[in-house]
Amino acid sequence: MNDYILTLVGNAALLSMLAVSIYLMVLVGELSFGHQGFFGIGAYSAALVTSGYDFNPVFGIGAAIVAGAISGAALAILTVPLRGLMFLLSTLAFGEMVRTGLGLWYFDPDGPGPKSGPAGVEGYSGLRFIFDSGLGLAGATAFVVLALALVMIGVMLMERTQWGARVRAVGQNHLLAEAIGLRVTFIKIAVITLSAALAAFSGAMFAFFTTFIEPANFSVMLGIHALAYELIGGIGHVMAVFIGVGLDVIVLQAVHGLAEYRMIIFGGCIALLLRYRPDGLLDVPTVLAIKKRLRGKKRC
Amino acid sequence: MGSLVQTSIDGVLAGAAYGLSGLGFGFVYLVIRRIDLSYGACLMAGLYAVVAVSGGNPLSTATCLVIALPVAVVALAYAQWICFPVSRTQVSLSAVAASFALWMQIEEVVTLMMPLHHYNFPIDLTTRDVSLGGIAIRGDLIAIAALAFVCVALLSLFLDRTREGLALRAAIQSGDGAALCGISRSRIWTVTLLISAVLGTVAAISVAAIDRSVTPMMGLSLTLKALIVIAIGGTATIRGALIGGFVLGFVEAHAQAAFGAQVREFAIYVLLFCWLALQPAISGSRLALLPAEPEGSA
Repeated sequence: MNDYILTLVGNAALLSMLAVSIYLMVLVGELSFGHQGFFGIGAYSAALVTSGYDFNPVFGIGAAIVAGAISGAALAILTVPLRGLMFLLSTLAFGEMVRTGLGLWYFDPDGPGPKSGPAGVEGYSGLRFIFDSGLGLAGATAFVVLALALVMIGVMLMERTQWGARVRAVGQNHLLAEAIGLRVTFIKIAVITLSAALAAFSGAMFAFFTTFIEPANFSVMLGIHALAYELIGGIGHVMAVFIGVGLDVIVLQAVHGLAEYRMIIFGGCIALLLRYRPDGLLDVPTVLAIKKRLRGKKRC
Repeated sequence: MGSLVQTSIDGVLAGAAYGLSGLGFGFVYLVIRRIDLSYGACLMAGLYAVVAVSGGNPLSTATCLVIALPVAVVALAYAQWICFPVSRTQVSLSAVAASFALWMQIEEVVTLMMPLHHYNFPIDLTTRDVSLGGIAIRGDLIAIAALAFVCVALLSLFLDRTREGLALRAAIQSGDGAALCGISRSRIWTVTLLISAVLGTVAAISVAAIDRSVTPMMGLSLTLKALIVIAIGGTATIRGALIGGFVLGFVEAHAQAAFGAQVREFAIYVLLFCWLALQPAISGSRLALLPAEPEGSA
């Protein structure tokens, strides 16, 4: 595979992981315009721990997950009374707060030397994981794809548990969930924390996948892209994000010669699709119908 | 002390333009219960049209309005047609997300047609500064604030004195009730869209005149500022939107004066986030003004 394909696959996998983190939000009945903020927190945390302080990448990933989880929990606790649109706006404000905040962050972990730190809007350069680890682009892509596969399996297993059923119940009707004795606030905070940790994890992967990050990487456009994957695919099943990814890649390939029009076509596709399928292509009734049909075939 | 007062006055006067954009944005929500996140991008398209038509020559405020308004109306109507069809009385968050996708699309179209990162806004707003007790008040800011107040006065007159205004007030009270009484839903939507476009275009022209430039970031910035204004001031009253605008202008001006442009941007988002997070604790009324799940749309 050439570098173009590898980069495309790697970026699609990273965005898919971010979309899966938004899928978790959808499970509790909320959307987010701010997950790029957690993604950025994860990327900067992993970069600082590995390139700033020379720790093993495992610690970088751990730091990213912890930082994402803490910021996610803080967001969830602060916005507990908010639902629907107001919650959506608060996530948008949070995401932009992180982006502009990273633009103000200057830090040199070790004075002049090979170690690097964030330099405001000029970004964070000198990320060396992809070279130091000896993985190369192919290895890093495989690493990201493997991480995505594990995340997908983890989410699918979680959905099959009683906890998963409770989360869906809260997402479907939080008042009814509360009426049957579920701890709605706790479940919501826990899921948002988990979702933020996952977004930060994908941000850490992004920092390892590249050699330079900057606040502009974490603009609202990134969050919209991931959210679009999730909404196009549908809220019925975690694997549905691949439909969104597939559509984006197909659009990208189909208009390869017209790359500058890509966002125009993709934006229009998202809007039109959401007009006719507000819950995406694989919404809950569709998934249930597919499952029923598959069960019927097995019996035959 | 003098500079603090000066900064405060500049901020509050500039805030009148933000109040107007919040009013245009919030008016749509108030009447037809829609949050169109492509609002700023649609207004920005109008500003770029002014830049393209002017060819670098200065234009009067009225000419800018005549050029920008039709473009903004077409863009807003397109966004409404795709994301919020009249036949759909309940709005989902997916529709709000779809309007964000359209923001992305409109911004791309505009930047492809005019690829420079920055264009001078060709408005001819020659005014004289006014001196009050040793404090010089910028003439362009006074003109912008006056324009905002004229728009607000005209809107109040329209709502209070005309049959269309009465129909709009009925739709605000109860969209379904108004429809049952024979008030055409699509007519209400059209009038609302036009009012929102006029208020938004005047606000966008004012903001571009203050900044003296147009950039692709203006679309998102206008939407976010309108959101901040209605988050602070609510959508229930015209006065509320203006107060929201004044607060935003005040905070922005002081953050910029004290810490620079980058911190100003950061401060705006901190303000929005803190307001959203703290408001329910301070008073439950805000959620009533801007309910999460809109009901009773026109």
